Amino acid sequence: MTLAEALEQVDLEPGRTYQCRVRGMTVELRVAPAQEKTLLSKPLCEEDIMLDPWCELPQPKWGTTFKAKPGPRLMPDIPEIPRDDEVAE
Amino acid sequence: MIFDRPDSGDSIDQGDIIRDCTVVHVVSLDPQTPDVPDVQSSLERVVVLTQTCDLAQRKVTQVVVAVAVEAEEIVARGQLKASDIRGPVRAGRVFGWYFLPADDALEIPELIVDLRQLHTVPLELLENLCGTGKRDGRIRPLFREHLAKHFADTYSRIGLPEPYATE
Repeated sequence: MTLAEALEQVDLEPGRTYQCRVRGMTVELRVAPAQEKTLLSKPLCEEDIMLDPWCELPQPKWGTTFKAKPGPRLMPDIPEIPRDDEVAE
Repeated sequence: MIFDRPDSGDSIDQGDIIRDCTVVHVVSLDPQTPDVPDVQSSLERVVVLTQTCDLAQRKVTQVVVAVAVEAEEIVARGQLKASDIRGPVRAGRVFGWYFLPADDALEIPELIVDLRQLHTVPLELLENLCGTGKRDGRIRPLFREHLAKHFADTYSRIGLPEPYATE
């Protein structure tokens, strides 16, 4: 019998920790708390909202630093210039 | 005249025209080593596009700018004729490009703001440039909003596959 099969027969509650002795050894079993599957299942509490209408996300903490070499000036890609009274796309 | 000349210590605002702004761009990239790009930098004249309210309320540390190129330079390269610039580009009929007239007093030449070449630069970099006299001027309200509208239209417009047929 596997451990999972043995535990199938026990009435476990999420979040609780159980302890027992088996063949002279102390065994501790911690049951993970039940997790909500989606954020939407949680009730919306207006007071918990921390986000301003404007929010700057933090800069990435990882990355590689490069020293850029001086290059030529940036010239634009030339768009199609409309004739007559057309508007370019 | 559509420009103001802010003091060097004035805060950054939408429509500021700033010289010698460092912009960085990836020139090439080997797909086998994407973490080692070939990076180049250049000094460009830029126009600030980030909204005034976000700058005024110190909401941002990074500022969106568009590269501005002298219209004469594009003509000198033979990429366009002067009549193209004076006609449809000046009239705002070319999405992605915005024409700014010259201002002799501020030594601003005729410029094409390339709204397809956008860069994000630190606010502090622009403040330092302005502090050292690199701000050419600032586009006044109404004209500034006209530029902002053209910028928004460039990216929000819906293009049809082809114009509707007419008889």
